[in-house]
Amino acid sequence: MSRPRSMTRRTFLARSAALAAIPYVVPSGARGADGSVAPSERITMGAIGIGGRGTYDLQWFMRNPDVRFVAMCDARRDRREAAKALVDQAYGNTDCATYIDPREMLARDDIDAVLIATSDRWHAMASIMAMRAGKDVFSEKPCAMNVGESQALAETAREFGRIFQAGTQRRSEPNFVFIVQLARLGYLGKLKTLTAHIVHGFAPHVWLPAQPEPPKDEVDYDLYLGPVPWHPYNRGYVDSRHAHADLWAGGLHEWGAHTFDLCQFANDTAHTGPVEFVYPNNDTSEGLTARYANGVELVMTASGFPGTCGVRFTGEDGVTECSDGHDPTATPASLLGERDRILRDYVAKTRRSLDHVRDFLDCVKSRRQPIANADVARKAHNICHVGAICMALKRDLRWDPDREEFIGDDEANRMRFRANRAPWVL
Amino acid sequence: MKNRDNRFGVLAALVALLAGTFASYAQPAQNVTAEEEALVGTLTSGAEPFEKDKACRRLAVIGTARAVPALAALLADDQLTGMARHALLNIPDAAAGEALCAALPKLTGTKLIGVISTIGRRGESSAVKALAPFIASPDDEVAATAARAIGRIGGGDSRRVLESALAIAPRSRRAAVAEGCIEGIRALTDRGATKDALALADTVRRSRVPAYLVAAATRAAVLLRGEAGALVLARQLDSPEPELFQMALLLTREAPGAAITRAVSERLGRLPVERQAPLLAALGDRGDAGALPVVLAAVDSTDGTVRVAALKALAQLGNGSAVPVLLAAASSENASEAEAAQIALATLPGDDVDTAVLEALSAGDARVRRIAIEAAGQRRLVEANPALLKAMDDADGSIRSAAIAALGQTTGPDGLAALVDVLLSRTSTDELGQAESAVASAFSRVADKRVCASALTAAMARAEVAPRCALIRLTGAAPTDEALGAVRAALRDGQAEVRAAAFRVLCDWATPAAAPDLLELARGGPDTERTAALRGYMRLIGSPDLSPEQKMAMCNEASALCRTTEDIDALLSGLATVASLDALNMAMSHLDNAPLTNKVSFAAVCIGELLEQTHPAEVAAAMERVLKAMNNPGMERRVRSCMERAQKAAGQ
Repeated sequence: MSRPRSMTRRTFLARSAALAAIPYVVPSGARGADGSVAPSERITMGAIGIGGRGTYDLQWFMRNPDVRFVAMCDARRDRREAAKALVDQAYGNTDCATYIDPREMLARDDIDAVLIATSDRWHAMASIMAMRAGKDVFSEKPCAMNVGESQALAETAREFGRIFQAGTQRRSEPNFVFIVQLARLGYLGKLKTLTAHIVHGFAPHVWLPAQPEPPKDEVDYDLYLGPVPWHPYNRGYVDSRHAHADLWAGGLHEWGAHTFDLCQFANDTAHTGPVEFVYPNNDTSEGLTARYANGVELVMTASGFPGTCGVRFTGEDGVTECSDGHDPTATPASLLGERDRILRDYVAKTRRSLDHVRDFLDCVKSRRQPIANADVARKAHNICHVGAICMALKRDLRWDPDREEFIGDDEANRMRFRANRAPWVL
Repeated sequence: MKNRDNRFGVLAALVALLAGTFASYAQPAQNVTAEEEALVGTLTSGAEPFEKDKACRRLAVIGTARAVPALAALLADDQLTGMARHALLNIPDAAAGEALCAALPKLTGTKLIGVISTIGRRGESSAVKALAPFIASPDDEVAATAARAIGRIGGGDSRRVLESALAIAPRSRRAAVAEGCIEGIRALTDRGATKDALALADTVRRSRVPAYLVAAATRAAVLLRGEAGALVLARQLDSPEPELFQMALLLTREAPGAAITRAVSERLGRLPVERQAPLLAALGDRGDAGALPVVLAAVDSTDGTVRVAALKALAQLGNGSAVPVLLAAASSENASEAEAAQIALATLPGDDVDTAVLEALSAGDARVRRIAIEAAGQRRLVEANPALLKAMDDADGSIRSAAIAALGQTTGPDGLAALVDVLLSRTSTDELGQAESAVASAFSRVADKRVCASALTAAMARAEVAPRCALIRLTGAAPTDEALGAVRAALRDGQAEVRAAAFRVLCDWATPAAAPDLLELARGGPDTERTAALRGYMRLIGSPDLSPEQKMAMCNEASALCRTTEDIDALLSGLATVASLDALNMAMSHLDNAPLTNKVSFAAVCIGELLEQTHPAEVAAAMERVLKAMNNPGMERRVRSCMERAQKAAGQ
């Protein structure tokens, strides 16, 4: 495995630190004499799991001149090689290294940060491994499959002082930020109902018929499964993350990771959560309702929005709504006239970029926690986790969002964590 | 998008399977014992691994000590060891932990790693003794897992084992043991053993381990010391190690207490300028006004980057006393400094800030006055309106322009008439345009559009031609009946400019009230106007305020006027919103018009989705035709789904 060592931010800082007082955190915009980004300013990155979404993320990151990808890791050869080709083409060289095993990539001390875009099963484990190795992390959502993983993720980020951004990019998209701010700033009056778009369904627990495993160089199935329980090999698991409940967290997580998070943001409950989950008497999750201690209800539905990942906030004085690809709506419509001012003030007060990746990169440099940091993701994801347990148990559940345990339901409490397959243990 | 749709289509089909998967979780409590016995029987039988996997998953939820022996027997099983651990992790009885410890000597490799980690997650203090030898295992992963497991368990024994191991660990193992210590610090803290946690943190800080682990331990050392942690934090600001300085920045934001603010503030001025800017940002985020004096002082730094950082921090920490500083900086030649100060002036909260900005409206320096006007507008200071209106007479054009824009921000319903008068009084084209934008801006925030329309109509008769055109254009932002009446009148105005403005605003009218006017123009207007009027009319068909019958009637009117393919294309957009069989038939009548086939298909599926339950047979038949005719793979699945739902509803 090739491991080229060019001068990176990490090595530059370490070397320079031994010599003299130097710019340990350089302001955005610093450039080398030739106009390129100076090494001290450049964030050197690796990526783990680069399929369709990962490629999208990779291109998003590479649009930032202060990012340099040096390593791609994937258990599938086709994806590894395609990602390397993409990076090499962008940089006009053949320097990008490839890895099958994330441990090898994470052992590189020249990598500052890691993009994790595997499918659901690997997100938490890979993030934790990276942070334990001193890397900052941008992870696709859902960032965890269960309550225990969300806890471990947030604890690791906090204890190791790492920067973590969940890939819940709607937290940084102007339309969603605007309607969230309408709720937070009181334009809607006292909030009554938060409506969150979900996808129906969960994956099944079935073992597909065993097939001969492909060569490890083509698909390293053991690494592909990673932390999830062993299943006999079947190409279906590799081709579709929806093929088994261990591989895909489910419809509540699929969009809920975004939409519940936006509801938490709007309700100013990002560091706590609902206290009660009401089973909707169906198998789809349609109408599953979570109640907050302040009486606000979060209603989950797969319909009623013109675009994907919609949210609607209903208050005593107004309603606002937004979904992908559609402008926000509001009642009264006059609220829409506040958009520019609200966004301007939001950016000024929070000093956040309205570009989710840029926010992460800025935070890697400033050491400030990003907008969708691990603590925020933990509490929003808990709504997905608890909702899924509610659906599995087919009964109402009471939840302590601060202690992160069910009240008076031992069975539910025993469903908060699933032991990982070794050696990928938490 | 197509892939995503396909994926979720598959999911929908899997819901039924899921119901079976989850059904077992909802058993009545009285059946649990019998169920556990049956599950144990599965584990001890010759059942297929999949059946045993399912049994383990269920025992994780309901299992008791009775299931422990059968589960423990699977810890050495290549395929099922993980699920057996999962069940043993969740069985509360101590017998589960004892069984895991008893398995330790019999296992190696990943099975051993799994059991060690599971013991750590169970957190039973008595297990530390059993785990301790593995921290010296020749297998690096076993040793690392043991260190983390011991740390996770916490307690005095845990701390002693980890400290000893760290002291003697070879260099290659030290990081792994230190990671265990970081886990241990958390566990000890959670148990309230702060003193032990702090001692362990300091042990790691003194060890020769990678800097990021020293930084992690330093974080704990600062937070656990409380006020006394301020000194430890401040020292990290001078550290030559980047990881420690970066951790200091994070702690400046995170660690509570005035002592931290004081310690960091005192250190700020002594740091190299390269470190001052990020630290000022951290102090701003910290939000403790105790840092305000050093932040204000940093505004006078000789380094431009530091000055900008200080101005940004002022936006977070400042108060009225900062306004003069910000006003001065906002007129700086340095664009970054000016922008930072202007943002601070616009967003800094506080009545004292408002007062200071209002006072600056009468400043002698024109630049300061203009900046104060802009700030007053951005802050929506209604109290500024008299001064802003007075500024209309200012000799300085930039002051007038700033004041017009600010009035657009500050004017509420009560001030609309005065703002419209400003528009009427503008003599230059530029200022007229600015005033029009200001009125539109004010309108956008007024809920009762009738107030806006009245302000416009009241001024209409007094307006010269150019302002009258502006007033007409503004009626589109207040589309009431009164405003529409003014537009109708303007269509007959003696001035061609006014008539043209009225026609354009009518074609874009937002409510169906304009439909008859547009239909009349589409029927009888000149060709240049006919198409635009017809498009405006058909756009209104999509209005949510119309019933399906009203929409269909409009479609019929429009259909009779369609002359070109483009006309029909526009008609299809309207038809797509009509829940009516007539609309479906009308759309389908154009299916064989080749350039429009895909547009027809889209309209048909939109209507079909509205009608699939009320007119399933007709929708199914239409979708079948659409599928044969269309050439748009991206929409095929949607059409097919609609057809299948309709067929199901029709009992086909």
